[in-house]
Amino acid sequence: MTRAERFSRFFAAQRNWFAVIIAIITGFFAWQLRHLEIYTQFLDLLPRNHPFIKIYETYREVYGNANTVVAAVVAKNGDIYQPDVLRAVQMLTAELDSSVVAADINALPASHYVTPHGAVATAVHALVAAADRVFHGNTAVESETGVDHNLVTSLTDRTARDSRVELDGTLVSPQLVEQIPESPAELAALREKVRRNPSVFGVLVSPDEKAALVRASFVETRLDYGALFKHMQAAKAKVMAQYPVDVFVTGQPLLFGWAYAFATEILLVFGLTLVVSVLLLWTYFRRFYGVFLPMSGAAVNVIWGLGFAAWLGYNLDPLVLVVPMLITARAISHSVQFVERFYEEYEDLGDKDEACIRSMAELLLPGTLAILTDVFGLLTISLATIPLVSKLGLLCAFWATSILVTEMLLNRLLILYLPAPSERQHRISPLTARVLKAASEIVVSRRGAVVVSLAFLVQTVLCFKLALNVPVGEHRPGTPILYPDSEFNVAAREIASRFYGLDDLLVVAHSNALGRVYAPDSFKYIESLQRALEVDKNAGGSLSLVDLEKQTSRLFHNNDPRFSMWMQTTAEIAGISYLMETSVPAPGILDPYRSRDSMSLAIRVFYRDHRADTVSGAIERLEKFVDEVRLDGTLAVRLVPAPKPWYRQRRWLDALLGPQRPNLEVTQAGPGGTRQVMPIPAGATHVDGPDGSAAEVRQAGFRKPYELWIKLGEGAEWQLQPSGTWLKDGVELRYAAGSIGVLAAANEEIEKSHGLSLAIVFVATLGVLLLSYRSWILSLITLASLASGSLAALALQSVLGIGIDVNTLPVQAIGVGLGVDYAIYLVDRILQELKRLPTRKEAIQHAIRTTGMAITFTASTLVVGIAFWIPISSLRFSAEMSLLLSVLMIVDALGAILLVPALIALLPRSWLGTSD
Amino acid sequence: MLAAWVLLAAPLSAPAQIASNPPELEQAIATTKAAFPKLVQFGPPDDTEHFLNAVDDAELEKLKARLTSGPFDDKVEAAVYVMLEGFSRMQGPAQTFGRNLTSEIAGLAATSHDKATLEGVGRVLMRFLEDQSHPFSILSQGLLGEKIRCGAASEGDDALVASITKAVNPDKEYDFGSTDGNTADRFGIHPQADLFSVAARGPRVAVAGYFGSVLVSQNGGDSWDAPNTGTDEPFFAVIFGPGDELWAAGRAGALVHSKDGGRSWLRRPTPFARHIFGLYTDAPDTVLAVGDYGLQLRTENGGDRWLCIPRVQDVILGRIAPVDSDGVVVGEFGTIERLPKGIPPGKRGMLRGVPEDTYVYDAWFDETGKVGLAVGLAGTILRSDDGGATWNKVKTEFTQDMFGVGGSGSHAVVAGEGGLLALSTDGGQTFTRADSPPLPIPLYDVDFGDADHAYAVGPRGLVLRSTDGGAHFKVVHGGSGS
Repeated sequence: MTRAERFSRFFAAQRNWFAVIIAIITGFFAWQLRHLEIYTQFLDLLPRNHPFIKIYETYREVYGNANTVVAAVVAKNGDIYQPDVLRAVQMLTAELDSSVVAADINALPASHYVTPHGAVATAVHALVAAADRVFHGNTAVESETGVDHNLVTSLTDRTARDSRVELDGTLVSPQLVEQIPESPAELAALREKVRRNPSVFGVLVSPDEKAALVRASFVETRLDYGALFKHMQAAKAKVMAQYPVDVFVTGQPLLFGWAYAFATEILLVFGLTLVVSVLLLWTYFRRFYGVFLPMSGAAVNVIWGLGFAAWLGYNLDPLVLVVPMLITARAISHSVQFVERFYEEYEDLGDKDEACIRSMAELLLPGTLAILTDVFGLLTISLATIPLVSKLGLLCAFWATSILVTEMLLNRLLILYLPAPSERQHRISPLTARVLKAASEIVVSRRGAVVVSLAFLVQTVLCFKLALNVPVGEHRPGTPILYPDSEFNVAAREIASRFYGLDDLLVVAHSNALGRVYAPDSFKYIESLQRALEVDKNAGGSLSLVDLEKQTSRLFHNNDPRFSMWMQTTAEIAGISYLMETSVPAPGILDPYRSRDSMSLAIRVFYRDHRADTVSGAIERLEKFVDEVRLDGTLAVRLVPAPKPWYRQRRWLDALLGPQRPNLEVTQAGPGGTRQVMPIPAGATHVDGPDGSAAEVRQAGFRKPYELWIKLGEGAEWQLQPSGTWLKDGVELRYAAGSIGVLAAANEEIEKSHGLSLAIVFVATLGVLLLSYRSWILSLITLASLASGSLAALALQSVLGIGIDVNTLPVQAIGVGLGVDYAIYLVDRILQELKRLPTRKEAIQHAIRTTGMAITFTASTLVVGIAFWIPISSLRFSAEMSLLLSVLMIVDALGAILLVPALIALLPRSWLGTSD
Repeated sequence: MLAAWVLLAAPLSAPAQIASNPPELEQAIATTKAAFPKLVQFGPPDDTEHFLNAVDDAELEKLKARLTSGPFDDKVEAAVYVMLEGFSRMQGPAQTFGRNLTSEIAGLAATSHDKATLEGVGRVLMRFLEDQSHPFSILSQGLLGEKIRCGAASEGDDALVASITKAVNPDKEYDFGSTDGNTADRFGIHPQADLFSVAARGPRVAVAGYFGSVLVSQNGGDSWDAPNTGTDEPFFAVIFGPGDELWAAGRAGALVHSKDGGRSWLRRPTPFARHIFGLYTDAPDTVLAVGDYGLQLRTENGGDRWLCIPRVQDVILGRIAPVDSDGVVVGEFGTIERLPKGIPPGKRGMLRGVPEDTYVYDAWFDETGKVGLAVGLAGTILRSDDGGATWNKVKTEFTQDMFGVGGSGSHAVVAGEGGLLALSTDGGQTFTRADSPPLPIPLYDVDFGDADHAYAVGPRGLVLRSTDGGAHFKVVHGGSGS
């Protein structure tokens, strides 16, 4: 008796204990479900350890965050210099500046604010609306928008000023639009004022003068994405109804809003998937158990998974819900394998309990193996430093592990408790049987096996080539989550084509010396950076205090354009800054440009999109500048990357090996202005400087990057330098925040995690297989099937341009785990049949006809269950994921049914120890 | 009303008594009493603050003569110090007189061509500058920075130039340069820089602008090169010299010289950091640079040595238009001066019926040297038909600021705010809008390469070209075109 059979018999004997334990745990998780929350937490999308994110978090409160809504008012006829168009801008500004979402607007479900286009979408929307009417909870309360009033900018807002110098030399900056101008002369005057104002023209008014922009930043911790979405959609409709304008609204918070708006649809689609699965199960088995066992197991599995999430206080992001759903689909698939096997044995034995024990014993190894590889895949993604991904990895790893109990044990329990099935005969779909029989005959013939193997080899090599080009990050303008013609993406395109761009890169010029950033060399430094980044064809423009000072300097020199340059002394710059601050009655007008502690200035560069190329191009250029152009002052201490050894050339290895130890660079400006660089030998962590000052390089944990700590004198406190640089009196560029900086950090982490998780999954899978089969050749055959599936999916991503990002990374990693299941089941079956049947040929044919049947069925169930997302889903993301997973599953199933047996058939006889 | 006036005046008329004068002042008073007994009438000995009562006019003239033509010694320096310090402690018109006298003395020292005089007057002014509560402190900063420094530079007194530069610019401790002068070149900023000036000669065109950019075309603007000029400072002027020479200059005294038509450039730093807005050349290695604070610098050896020519008035000087063998420089406060052979001082043109405070940006003269046009703020177009001796306003429909003018024969084009390009085909008597792309940006300069080819420049590397004498302009560089 094998160990698996001993356990199965023990389990059958102790069934009551097992039932009680499973019931208690299920009850516990069901009780936890009341804490479950589904929402998006922006901070979860950021890799907290990444230096960019540290800078982002340092300056979030000062210069605003990446949660910016951008709205454009476009005149239907003519330009914006019409009273009605300006009134529309004013109205939209007021709506964005509003702190609360009115109760009557918040009362309606988010789907109410969606206008469907096209017949399918209209039908789906009607269904969603109906569902919302029934299920929508009471939200008729005022909700906070979390808007930061100082970070609202618009042509008609108080933040847009018209500076001019009076005859007596005083600078006045009245609001640019205090009252809506009515007469043609007033409108023409406004046009001239706008054209001269670098912080308005091109930024808040498009260069073609047909559109005006309203920007608002939101405090992420106080932001209700759903309510804000309703608020903005209602405001948009209101403005468009009243004035002859088009309104386009976009921005990160709105994207989450759209995801909420489609939440009901996602749930409906899930529901539909469930119904389809039940129907398919019935069509296939035509037996009560065939439907009841998988579905009951899936239900308990979902309770465990969601309950676990709630227990740990995780929020579920609507966009990644597809991942847990997949795992549940895996649970169903395992269950189908079992039910199929049970009926097979039952038909053979006629004894329900004995059939159950035997099928359990035979599936225990492949089932556990398959689930363990799934779990490894999921655990590796929890290594990612992006909280959303790592939480999801951990949650799903548990969720997948729970399949061991909720399906594998629970199914058996139910069969043991339930009465024996009335029909003993195992139903076989005649068409599938014929196809599988043909397939099995092909792969056992030598020529067929060679052809199949070669075909897969060609496919794998081709896909590998394509897979090398899979983009990391977003690959298309707008958001890939929604369709290009979605309202959100249309708005994003419209705004990006008319203005400097939607996405901003924030760099902070910081100095430890108070007021140092206001020196002329600092201004020159800042403007050099702006112009250097603007050369990038994806950059639309940039804005900093330097631009405003240049403009003011020009005003003080009779509008002479040549004086639109940085001033010559700190005194002049400080003087102009003072005048700019005091010429405006409202405080905080310069908040987006400078910090109130006189230590830093903000540089914002706008980009037309946030495609991965754009982001990496921007960061590359920025890093080149920071590296080559420095304003160090008298003493500079900084961490600089050490030269990469050969084994670090691939970026993803960094994630495995931990961050590389940097070098410490100390630059001193000598008396003659010369600079002396003192490289610190590797291994040293402590460097003494002048006057008892000292620098240290520290590392907080294995996966934490190295940190620079500085002590300014004898007995002074050690201070962390978040940017890895400390300058006594120089100006340092801290980067990178803004939406581009945040995305760059996420992309870098994903690039690392992606390669790493694929590598670990393969190694771990190989390890598990080796342990179980104790055969290199069988393990490698299984891996070959796995590789062909994952590479096909990656190749598809590459061809369709679906980038690997926070949303798709988990799907990829899970796909790998999924892929191996089928192959494991089939290999295991062949091994079992080899013992029972006389020849290898027969064993292979029998395995294909039986286990291959279950594989065909589970794969087709899953594919049919998700395939209809493609035409009906309003979220492009769901549709694409569905396509991706369908391809993955079909290739994996084909690999298991054709490639694995073909390779086994081709093996030299001696390797398997059987005859033909 | 009267009471209020008295209240306001009270603190001014009774300032706190100074207990005693610093020893160097007492010493200087003693020296002055001995050396120039009739120059200063001293007050009662108990009023140490108001030690000066009056100055004798005739004696003052003699002192000024000593400053102009020497010899200068400690005694003269003491007398100057005592006199100016004395006036600085007075109120109302007497102090104003003292201010004007200070300015005049600085001017005399600057034009004295005598190192001792420059250094001596410099020391007096430096003393005022260092005491930040001194009534003449800020005045001295300006006088030292412009006049004395200019005089010292023209005498080759580099030590004095350096010490004044240090004193008037307390920022120097922070001046780490910030860029090495090649940043714009390395990061490809030049082709997108804001352009302020254009010079064209036949098919050769040079445009200059922000971040040390000089773009050069050898084929009438069809293709452009962006050579490294070795500086990131903005340029405001570019001109062709004899043969293959090119000059460009701009912010904070940045000036570069090319002898190979703009392929390679040499940095020729000017003695102190004043903005240069206009250039004029008529001989090899010779250039006159004018600019902020009435700066006038001239070199005849390619910038090895600079002669600084001090001006009485501190006006911003702009571009210089060649006319016959002279140059006409324009600037603030209606300044239109004809510089014989391009050497200051020049002769101011008469503005007839034009406000004296007109800000003039650019001028152009036709080949006869008789007809001239000058443009400035708020739609100002001035015309002269007597070689620049007198100027009248041309009436046009335009009210926007005009920054550039250029022409050939009877064709003239003005460039200005809001993408304005206006053409005159009658030697500047009437103007009509040229056919050019509607641009909501200012155009800063315009120049003709020959009778047909005209070029105008603006922000972000924008160059417009006309091939029909200014009737139609099209973008050939920058803007949305590239």
